[in-house]
Amino acid sequence: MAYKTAIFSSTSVHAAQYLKGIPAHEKYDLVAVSFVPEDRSATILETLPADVKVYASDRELLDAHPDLDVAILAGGNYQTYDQFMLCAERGIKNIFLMKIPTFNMEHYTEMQRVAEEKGIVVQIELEMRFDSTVRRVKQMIDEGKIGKVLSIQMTNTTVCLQPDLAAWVTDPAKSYGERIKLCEELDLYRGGCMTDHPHCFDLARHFTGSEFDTVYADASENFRDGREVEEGVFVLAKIKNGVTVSIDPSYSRHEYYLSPRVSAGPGWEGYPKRVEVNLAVIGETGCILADCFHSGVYHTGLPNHTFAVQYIGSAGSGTGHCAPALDSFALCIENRSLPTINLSLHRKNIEAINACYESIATGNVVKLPETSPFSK
Amino acid sequence: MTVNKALIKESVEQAGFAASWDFTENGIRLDGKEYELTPWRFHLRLAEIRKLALDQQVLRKNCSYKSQIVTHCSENISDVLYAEVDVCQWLLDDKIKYVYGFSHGDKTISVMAKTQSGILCQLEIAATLNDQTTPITRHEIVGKEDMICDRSINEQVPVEAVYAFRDDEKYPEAMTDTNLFTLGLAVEENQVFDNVIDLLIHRKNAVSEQEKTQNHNVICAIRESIRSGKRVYVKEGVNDGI
Repeated sequence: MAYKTAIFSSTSVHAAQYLKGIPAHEKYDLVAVSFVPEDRSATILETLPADVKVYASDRELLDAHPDLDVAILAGGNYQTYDQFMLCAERGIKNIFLMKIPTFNMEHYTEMQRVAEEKGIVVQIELEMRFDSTVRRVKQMIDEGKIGKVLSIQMTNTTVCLQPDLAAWVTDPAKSYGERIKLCEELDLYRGGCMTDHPHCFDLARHFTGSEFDTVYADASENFRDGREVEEGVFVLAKIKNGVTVSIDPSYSRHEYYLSPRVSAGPGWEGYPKRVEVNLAVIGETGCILADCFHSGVYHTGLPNHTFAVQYIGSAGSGTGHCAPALDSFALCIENRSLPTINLSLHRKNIEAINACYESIATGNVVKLPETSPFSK
Repeated sequence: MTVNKALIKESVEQAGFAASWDFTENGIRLDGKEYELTPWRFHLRLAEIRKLALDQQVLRKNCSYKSQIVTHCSENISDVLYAEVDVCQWLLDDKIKYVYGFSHGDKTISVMAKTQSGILCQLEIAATLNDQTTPITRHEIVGKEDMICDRSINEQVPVEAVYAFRDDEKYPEAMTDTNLFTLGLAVEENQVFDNVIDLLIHRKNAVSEQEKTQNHNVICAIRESIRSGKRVYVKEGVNDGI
């Protein structure tokens, strides 16, 4: 039995994967999508099957499809809270969220409360948890291959989607949720690379089995002119079990502007690799190096004839890196079980990112709270 | 790393430099004056990064800098830190303004820093490798719309130039530095050799007194940050911490 599924907004950086992959996934029956044309180029809808209806508003979609099983909230970060509450109000029992539910912790608590009260199965995307390289590294750590882990270095460095392709990504109010100045020294606002790249924060906790104790973060001048949100950030954190974690979530992999913009695909790389998630785990007796986006073919070609890497994502369902997350979600729906990547687990990641923003603003080391509402 | 100083001295003499000099603990003594050795400034890749960045100015404006070193567990991690602090400031032609750091004894040091012109820096050093393993090194400068790195795409461990595989051995014999042919020196010894020659001839890449003072002040600031758990500003000029 396939779950009646709708994708909301269709403007997330990963929306294309869901728009292509959900129709091909045997567990999901995509019946409708809503779309926000001012937030993303409509080319993203070109691959939709003809029988999938497109709506201009979420309410219109929900009115037309009152029997939805699954809602995939694939919009800008600024929309997620309202969409979540609307879907909960309309009785949807299974909600899949993109990687940032909200940075407003009061809203976050409210989402947790509603999910618990109404028995909603809520999973957060955080697809790197399912990555085979990540799983192998975790296995090696747990087996003690390098002894006690001392420090972990992680990068989640990428290109940056351009405003005419996905406008909300570089709009502080839509990305972070409100317009907050990053720091006195830089004319920038929260909502950039660190907002877009929560994976390393999650993996730090996943690899160590512990929680953030303190974080320190700092920002550089932007790599690209004319952007308001931060592009270059380094983080140095201490985990409660003593491990040091350094994170680079920067938008430091350059891209060309392609006009007219067709899709966020091959051909626009300046730096050859669009996404780099590299890990270095230092232990007492050695180190583990890993490249989570290692498999690729190499090409030069139109339009700029630059040498580039085309990453080979997950085959089959067409949802690329997100396929295992959707498989896991389907299993949780079937069993009415709590997904591994749930709101409570992810709350600590969001708190860590917020603490990093505070550190950038103040220049201080920031200590994370010991407990959080609904924390597990 | 341990270098064969006697072999290096002999190589310098064979190269035709008969000047009276000798090794000291951290450098050489020449004409009654002591000069610090900074062989990393003669590492071919690092020298090329500096040439591209400063002489040819291929970067529009430096924004961030990263170095990653994983070296042998027999290495003195403080020596590696000193070298990487110098490399950072030398490649960027800038001075570190403040630092924040952590360490795990003599195994790892992690430092975040910012320079006076606002370049954000990350230095990661670990000494946990087997002495037979080739150290893992990576240096990267990211500028506006451009970048320089001494490692290629997908290159996690150093790639060599020549590999000799045998059907009775699992791992190949590998080498890169062509100078091995000319002088019979190891890569690190060759860098010391080049450093000595530079000091004997024209001291073009020699570390100045101001640079030495700045390096030491940065090290003091890093030690203080590790101790206090706070961001520490680098003191100017000679200070008691040296």
